[in-house]
Amino acid sequence: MITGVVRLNEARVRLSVNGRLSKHQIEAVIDTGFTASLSLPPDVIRKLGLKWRRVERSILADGSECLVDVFEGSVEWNGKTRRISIDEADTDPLIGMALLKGYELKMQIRSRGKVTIKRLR
Amino acid sequence: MLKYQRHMVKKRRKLLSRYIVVDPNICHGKPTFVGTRVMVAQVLRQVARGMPRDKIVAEWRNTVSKQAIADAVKRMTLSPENGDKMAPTERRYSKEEFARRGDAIYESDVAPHLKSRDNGKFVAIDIDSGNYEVDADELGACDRLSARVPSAQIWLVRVGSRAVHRFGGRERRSA
Repeated sequence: MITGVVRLNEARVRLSVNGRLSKHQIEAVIDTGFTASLSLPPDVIRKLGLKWRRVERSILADGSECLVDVFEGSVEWNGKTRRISIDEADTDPLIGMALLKGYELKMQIRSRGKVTIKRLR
Repeated sequence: MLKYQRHMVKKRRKLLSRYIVVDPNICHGKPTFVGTRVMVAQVLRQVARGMPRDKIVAEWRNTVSKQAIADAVKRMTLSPENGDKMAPTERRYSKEEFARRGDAIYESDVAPHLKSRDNGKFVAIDIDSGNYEVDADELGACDRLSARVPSAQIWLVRVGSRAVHRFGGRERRSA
């Protein structure tokens, strides 16, 4: 099980991300409108030394399109290391639906409310 | 004497990961799977041909595990010259160039060959060579293409969608 906390109307989870150069603890916001796995800002991607994999097109909240560099890295997730795609986006790290696939997400939406992410059987 | 020592150091067995080793006494120092004489390049070629992982494991009589194959795919790519060098890739064109060339290749060479069951799958296109791979998994499509074209400059497309992913926004389905 993965746990987090609700703060200022955001569900936040701490996550350990591994790159080729280093390993970082980050705090990410769960965003159910984000369909990829994880986004990280460019400076964190450089520090981790993530491997560049591809370019793809994404749609932003205002309906506009943008081109995104996608990297590869791994996260510690539910006690296991998972290899994932990581989108470069200059915002706070976001956890998207692809990372949550196969899991149940519960959140108590109030200040300091609990966030729990449990594997579905 | 010094020269001799340096020579010795260079020739030592080196573990590249839990699963992969470079040993001058095995396969002329080409990367192999630990405890085997199976060259990483041989397995990567099978992955590139789209052979299922179970079948690859069986082919090498269970001496190469699925985890070892996954590790090899993650760490190594085939290089055109000798098929066993590490080939770190960097983006060599602007993102706009990727979109322009990638979309053009998709429209002319990929889309005509797609079936309705491919809807929602991912297409990884190398904008340099025009080679592409289709897979239900996005990393799967990229891995197969990179195994085939080591320095692939990949543009990823999701069949049936304008964009691969959404940050909160979505395409309007109706006017």
